[in-house]
Amino acid sequence: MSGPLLQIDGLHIAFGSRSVWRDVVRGVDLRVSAGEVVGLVGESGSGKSLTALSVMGLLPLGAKVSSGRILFDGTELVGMRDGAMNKLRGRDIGMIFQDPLSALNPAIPVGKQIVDSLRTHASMTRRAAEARVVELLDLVGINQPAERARAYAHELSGGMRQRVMTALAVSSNPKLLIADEPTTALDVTVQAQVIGMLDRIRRDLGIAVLFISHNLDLVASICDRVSVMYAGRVVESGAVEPLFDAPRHPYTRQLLRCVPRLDGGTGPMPTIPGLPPRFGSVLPGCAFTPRCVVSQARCSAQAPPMRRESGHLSVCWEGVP
Amino acid sequence: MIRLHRLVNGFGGPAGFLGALIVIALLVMAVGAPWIAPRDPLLVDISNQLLEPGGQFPFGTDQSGRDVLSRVIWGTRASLSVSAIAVVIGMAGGVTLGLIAGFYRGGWIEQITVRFLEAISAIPILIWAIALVGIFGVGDMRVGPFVLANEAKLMILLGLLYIPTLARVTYTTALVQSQANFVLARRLQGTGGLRIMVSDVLPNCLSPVIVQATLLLAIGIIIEASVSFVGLGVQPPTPSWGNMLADARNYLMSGEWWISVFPGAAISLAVVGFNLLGDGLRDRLDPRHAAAVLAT
Amino acid sequence: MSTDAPPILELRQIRKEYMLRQGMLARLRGGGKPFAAVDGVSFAVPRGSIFGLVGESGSGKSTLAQIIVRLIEPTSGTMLFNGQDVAGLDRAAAQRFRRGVQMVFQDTGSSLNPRKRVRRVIAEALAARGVTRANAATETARLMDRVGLDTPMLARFPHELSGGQRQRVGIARALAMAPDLLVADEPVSALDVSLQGQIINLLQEINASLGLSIVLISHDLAVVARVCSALGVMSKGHMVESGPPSRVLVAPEHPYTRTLLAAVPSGLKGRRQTDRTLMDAFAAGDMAAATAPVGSEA
Repeated sequence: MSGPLLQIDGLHIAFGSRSVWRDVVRGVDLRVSAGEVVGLVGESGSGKSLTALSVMGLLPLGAKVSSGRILFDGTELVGMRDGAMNKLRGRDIGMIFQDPLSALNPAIPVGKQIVDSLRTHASMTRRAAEARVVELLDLVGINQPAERARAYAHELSGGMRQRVMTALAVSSNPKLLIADEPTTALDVTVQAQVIGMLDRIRRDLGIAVLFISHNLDLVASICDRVSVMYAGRVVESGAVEPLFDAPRHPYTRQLLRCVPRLDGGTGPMPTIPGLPPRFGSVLPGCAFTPRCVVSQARCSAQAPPMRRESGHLSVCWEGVP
Repeated sequence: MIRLHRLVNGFGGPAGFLGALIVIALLVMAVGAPWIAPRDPLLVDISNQLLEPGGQFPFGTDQSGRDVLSRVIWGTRASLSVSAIAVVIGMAGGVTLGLIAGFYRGGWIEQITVRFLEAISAIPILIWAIALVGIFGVGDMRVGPFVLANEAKLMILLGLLYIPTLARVTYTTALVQSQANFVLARRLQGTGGLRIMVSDVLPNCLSPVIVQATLLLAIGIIIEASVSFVGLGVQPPTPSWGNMLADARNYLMSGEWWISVFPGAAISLAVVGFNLLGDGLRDRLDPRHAAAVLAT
Repeated sequence: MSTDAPPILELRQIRKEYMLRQGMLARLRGGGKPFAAVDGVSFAVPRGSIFGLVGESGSGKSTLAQIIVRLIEPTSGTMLFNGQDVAGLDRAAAQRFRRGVQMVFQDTGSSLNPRKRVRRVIAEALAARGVTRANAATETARLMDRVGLDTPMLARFPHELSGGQRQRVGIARALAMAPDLLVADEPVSALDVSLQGQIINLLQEINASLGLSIVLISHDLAVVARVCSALGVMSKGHMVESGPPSRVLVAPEHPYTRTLLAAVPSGLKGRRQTDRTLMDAFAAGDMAAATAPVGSEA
């Protein structure tokens, strides 16, 4: 296969109804190659989750892709018919959410749900599917998988549910797994376990992961590349190490300083002054200007240039003569 | 154009808006009956018995020569007032009970109220209504110094029967709202229970109650019609849709369709109107729906 | 304030039991197993300090918060407020105590009444404290300034405010009662990283300028380490370890504290050094010994 597994070009997503539409995702470009883990970070309202949902064709009511392309394995997903999309969704792209409880059927044992999925997508016999379920549950680090398969979702802890959800998502051997804030609702010790599990299965299965999170440290610990979003745009992207070592965009720099650290000393915490722009408000220049410590006169008026240095992209006027 | 769009959305969409229009039309008829009705609904005219619709009598006349159109218009008044006053009584009782039971959760007040309401709700309202009206009879009833006309009795009975439904709706919401942090904050300020209930819990419980009340208005119309149809409700000669249908029973087979069709259609229209409005309001007041509107 | 003044709050062997729900028959027979949500917790909050309570869900830290503000009564144990046993207070004193301890909630959308404007939220608190109408206006303006909100915000409804602004209103509401102790229950965990610092700094400022004592409940060790002079680590109803952050977080004695510290994602630094092996260990379940007190993951 040539080219990336997932390629998003100039994606715009608008919210609204009938006559009034406002863009909340405003021109996102993103690439995920086979077997790669790409992080999409941003704060609430940055458009990171909408971007992920648009790949799955699962945008909420009142939202639509207004322009741009989403290519998966060379197939255009924007405007794809529901039937074809469903097939793709179940087989080639898996997804896990923040709240696995709502994604699992409360009335069916979790193992049976995975069996059903296997029989639908892989047309396996019941016996083969049941054996595979035990393998899958073992893969995601569930002890006594054969017994756990008979449990109902509400009988499992939050961390367990997320593991089951992951087993379900990877049961059809997808090429891409989208993880949308998979650990946000979990305690830190459980979060560490789930992240460890994700890291291991992606290495074992060679699956590509699009990891959506607001937690910079989590992204830094498991991703290969990262895109940072602010107000519906990618402001910086690149390989994890250079990006976190030497962030180029002022937003990334300021945000990284805000992350509370155990060795951060005492006294006032660093903050970013002001508030993010209101959902969907239109700005001519860079949306971060009012909160930026190095903003210049042209920042608010003119859209900043995209500058790329050895694969590390920053969308900012800083340092431009 | 945009204003009309907003107005329509205010009732949860075109269906809800249509419901609102029907309900408004019914209200206008009920209030304005003396001016809107072309004739006296009680005027008996033997020379004009059983006339087909047309000419002077757009809806025809009944067996006593009374104008069906005027009787349908006046009937709106009887049907709506029974239904509306019953809902008001039901809301007063049901909201109070539900609110108290939900706010003082875990106590004996909650236990007693909830069990009592469950017991009453086990039998459908229509059965209750017919049974109770049957027991108390159709005549005026003396309660101490007051004389209750049959209609008033029906309103009160129906209102009492509405209490469990409305109490349960209020209770479910009050249970959740009473646990909200803003209620805890008020308790930390040392504010009394009654005050918190009225100023913090009640306003946040009203949306589902209003939706339910609208749907009960439709049920009230059916019950009034049913009870009057069997002769236990609004008494002749006062016209109500129910007793008009009762009168029309004898003419169903003989071809005078207009005597039954018009009051019947009025009942259907009113029920559809209140149901559409109730469903529309439910969509409109649903928090998830509100969130979607906010996001735009 | 002399150094030998009693602590603003002292808990001695506080225990709170709940009956585990069993079948109806068992309950009728008066059975049911008691379950201790808080089990013999003791600690003291010196006047004017910030005390951190750390723990994961189910550790009992929220139950403890409700006991401190007296929304629930402990099953046993003693709670001293300003050196006085709160259990022995008469009605009037108990009421005074209740107003003297206020709470800031996690902003989950339910901390402010959706149908009340900010002005009314503040006014109700001031009225509850007995501030006259004449003084209320200046007092409101002072509070709004204190929490960093402009006066036009007074006319807003909660849904018209951002998460950070709502949290500021929640703090103003608590301050309106002129409390001696503030219990902040996960005040920033629902906020974006770039805004968390603003609220934490505001709490620190209030602590410094008003001398207000604060109990800060958080699952975020880094936040607690930054602002608290002492902290207690809760696990399964017990306080397994307590002391100044410089000791507890640098040289933890209890295995649970060590697990908690190891689980905090440490970004690039961790990626390069220990995280790989640690994550592998977590993934493989080798941490069984260390995670045993957590219990939730079989």
